[in-house]
Amino acid sequence: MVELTTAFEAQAGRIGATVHRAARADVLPLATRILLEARCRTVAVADGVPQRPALIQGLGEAGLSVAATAGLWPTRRADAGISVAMLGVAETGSVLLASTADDRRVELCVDVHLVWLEAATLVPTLDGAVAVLRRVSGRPPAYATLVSGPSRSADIERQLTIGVHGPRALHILLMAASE
Amino acid sequence: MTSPIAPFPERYRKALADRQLGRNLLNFQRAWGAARRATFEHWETQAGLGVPDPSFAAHRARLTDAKRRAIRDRVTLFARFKEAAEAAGATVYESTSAADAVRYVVDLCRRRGVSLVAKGKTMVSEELFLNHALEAAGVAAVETDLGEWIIQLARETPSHMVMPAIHKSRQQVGGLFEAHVGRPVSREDIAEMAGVARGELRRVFAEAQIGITGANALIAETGTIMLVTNEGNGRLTSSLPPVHVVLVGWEKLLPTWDDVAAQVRLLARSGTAQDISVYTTFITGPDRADRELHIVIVDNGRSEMAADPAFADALRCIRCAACADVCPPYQVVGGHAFGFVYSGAIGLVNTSFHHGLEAAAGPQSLCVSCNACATVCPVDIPLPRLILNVRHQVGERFGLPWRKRWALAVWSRPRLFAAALGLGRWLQTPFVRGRQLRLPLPEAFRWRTAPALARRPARATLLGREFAPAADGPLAGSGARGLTVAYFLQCVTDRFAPEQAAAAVRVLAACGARVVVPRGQHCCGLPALDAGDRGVAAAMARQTIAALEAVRADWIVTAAASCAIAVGHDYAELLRDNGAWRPRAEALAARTLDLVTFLDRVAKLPAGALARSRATGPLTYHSFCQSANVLGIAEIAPRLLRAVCGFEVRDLPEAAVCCGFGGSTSLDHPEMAREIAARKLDNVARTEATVLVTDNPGCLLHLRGAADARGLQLRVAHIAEILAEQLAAGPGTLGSR
Repeated sequence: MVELTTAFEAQAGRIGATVHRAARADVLPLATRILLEARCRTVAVADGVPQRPALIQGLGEAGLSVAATAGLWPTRRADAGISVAMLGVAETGSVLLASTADDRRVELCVDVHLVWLEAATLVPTLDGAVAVLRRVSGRPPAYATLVSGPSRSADIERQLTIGVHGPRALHILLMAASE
Repeated sequence: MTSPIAPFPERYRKALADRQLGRNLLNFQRAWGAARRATFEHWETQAGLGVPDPSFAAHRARLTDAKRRAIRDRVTLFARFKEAAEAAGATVYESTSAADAVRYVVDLCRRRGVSLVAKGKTMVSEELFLNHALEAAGVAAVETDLGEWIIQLARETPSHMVMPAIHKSRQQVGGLFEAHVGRPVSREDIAEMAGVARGELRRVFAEAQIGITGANALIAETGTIMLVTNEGNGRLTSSLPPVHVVLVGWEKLLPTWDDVAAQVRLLARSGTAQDISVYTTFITGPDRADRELHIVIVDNGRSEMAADPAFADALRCIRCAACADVCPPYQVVGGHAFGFVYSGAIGLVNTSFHHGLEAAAGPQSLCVSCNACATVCPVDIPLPRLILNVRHQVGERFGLPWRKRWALAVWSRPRLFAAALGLGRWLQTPFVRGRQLRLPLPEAFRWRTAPALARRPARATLLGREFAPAADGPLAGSGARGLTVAYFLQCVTDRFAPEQAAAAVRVLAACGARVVVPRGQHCCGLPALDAGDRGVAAAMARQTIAALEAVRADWIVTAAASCAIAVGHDYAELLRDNGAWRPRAEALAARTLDLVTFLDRVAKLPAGALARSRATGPLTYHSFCQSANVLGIAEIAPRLLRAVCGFEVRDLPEAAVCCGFGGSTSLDHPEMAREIAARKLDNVARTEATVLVTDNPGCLLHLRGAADARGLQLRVAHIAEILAEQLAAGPGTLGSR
């Protein structure tokens, strides 16, 4: 069996996502670095993100303006959003997002999307992801999306264009399993 | 439901006048083909992850099976879907007609006082011409998929199911955007254009009171909708407005979640040639108590399709558009001519059910029956046969053009045919130049010279004769030694290229086979089948079966691959309802082979057997499209030429892409056929070969005529002729015209 983390990392990279391996303790400096390098000034953090209060405080201290999730809208955007994935799929390099309607705005109304992904949730294949989706509380979540890389289009002359309506960058914060 | 689509002849003329279109689509098809190969190859490296058999063939079988079950069990599966979706809080509306589906959406807009609708990409909405109805009701419906928005601004319909604006150049898009936003927009920078769309459409996402999308699947088990997009507009459209409306045909049913992975894996690879699309969304009921989810189920001819065994297979379609991406006529004229609302091969079939046979009549006439579409369809729809079924219905309903009726009437009567060609031979005399005619053809036909009728047809020297097996010689010990082969001449070879039949017979006898040429054979009926006249085709099939059965032979062989395919693949289907003839057709099919397959699989020609130290120019090989796409033998002939004869054979780019002959298609649509032939000859020129070898007389005469009209110094020869020359080992015939 191929090592899952390596396979996931390679495939996610292939489809245009950036994978950052991290330990929990390193999330704040990592996220801060990514956001500053991407020249983000505002960031929103979904409710479901682990260590949310500490993260918000730290990002604020690093000079980022933290926006309220509920206030986001296509015309009132944040530069970046952080949310959490239900699982990752090595076969496709996808993250499965099943955020609530409100949390989802940090994935829709931003240019840079950071996703918290626990390495322990990685599944090898799409079949595995589908099986998890089906059995969650007997009924699938009302709204779930397998996100595979940043938003893209090839509608003009089949030329690849990254970042149309969705985020133009997808950073996956892959949390080491051994904690 | 009024169609805003112009009549077919107008669309066809417009497409042909736009040669930029053909160049754009040629680049597109080549890039797509390379990307598709790459994603499937990459997938195969992932077997270590535990993906069950990561291959096109294996997943096509899985998905085809799932869609078959879905169509077969549609009543129970739909009931399950509806119950589960309603239990999750969705409203499921089963519309009774296209107009009823439109009315439901328009009424919903009225009831909610909606003035702005954000639309995700939905082909069903295009099928229903929903935007026109919404506009008439005073509702602004704005397309948010980049390609759909482009064609909405241009007030056009999609020319491709996945990339709706693939017919537009970046310059045209820049111009449309500039006119819309009223400020300068680059004509070159595609990223800037995407930025314009992003900026303009944000307001739509923000203010729309209803979002309308399509759906890629209805998962019956849990009442879940699957929606696949790349740009992210699908997620915005289905997440933000308080009401989400899904327009979907019931044929999108998938029985269970177990069937989902196969569709996801094949949809992106077959559609945009990606490993996976960016956003694959699963929606099970509204995601908040204050939001509504309406699922409008559209039939619009689908039940009629399901009930018709001649067309039910088409319902498996997952709208990936791969059939358009490999289609030679599509490359020339694009989806506005090669389709109606739906384009590509599937559009030639389902249009007649959604928009009437009349709407399908023009587009279906463009199909060259090359079968390329069938090789890439991820749900194994026998598209070429379904298109012929539509062609047959068109012929029945509207009648064949008088010229075709007359030609078939003559063609199907051996004596009349002989008399007509006898007259032709006399009339052609002043125009014969070598093997070709110099006729004063109308402009549209001048790109190809016509072949001259041979002085003596093949039948004059071969019919009813028997040829003894070679006792010695380089091939006498082949696997065909001791077998009896009945040789089928083929009408075209017989009258226009008897040397090909003579060569084939010589090669077969040299392989140690006894060769008989049965009397009573005429034409296999393919011209009638291609024209859509199944009655005449079936009569000619019966005549051919009877003639070939009359001699005792182990194999029926012909150098006309098209006829071998007609006998081997079409006869049983053509005579499927004929209890007496169908078994005879099947028995004959089982022992009928084209010459190349026979030499490879039966004779098993030994390597080097025909290697001769003679100076010859480099060869290249064009595979008859159906040899590649139906028989899967594109690789065999070049291998024979290399291994058995020791020739330098240069790889022909796009070797198995149709040459544009397409039976009578090249006479019906000479302007289109000219472009396809040019694509082939341009590829041949790239190899700098001096001999073009092929395995089918139709392609051969067509390409020889096109090369002649271009004034090329290119010898076009049948592989039988090349092999026969090697046998004879006469010095220096090859490579000199």
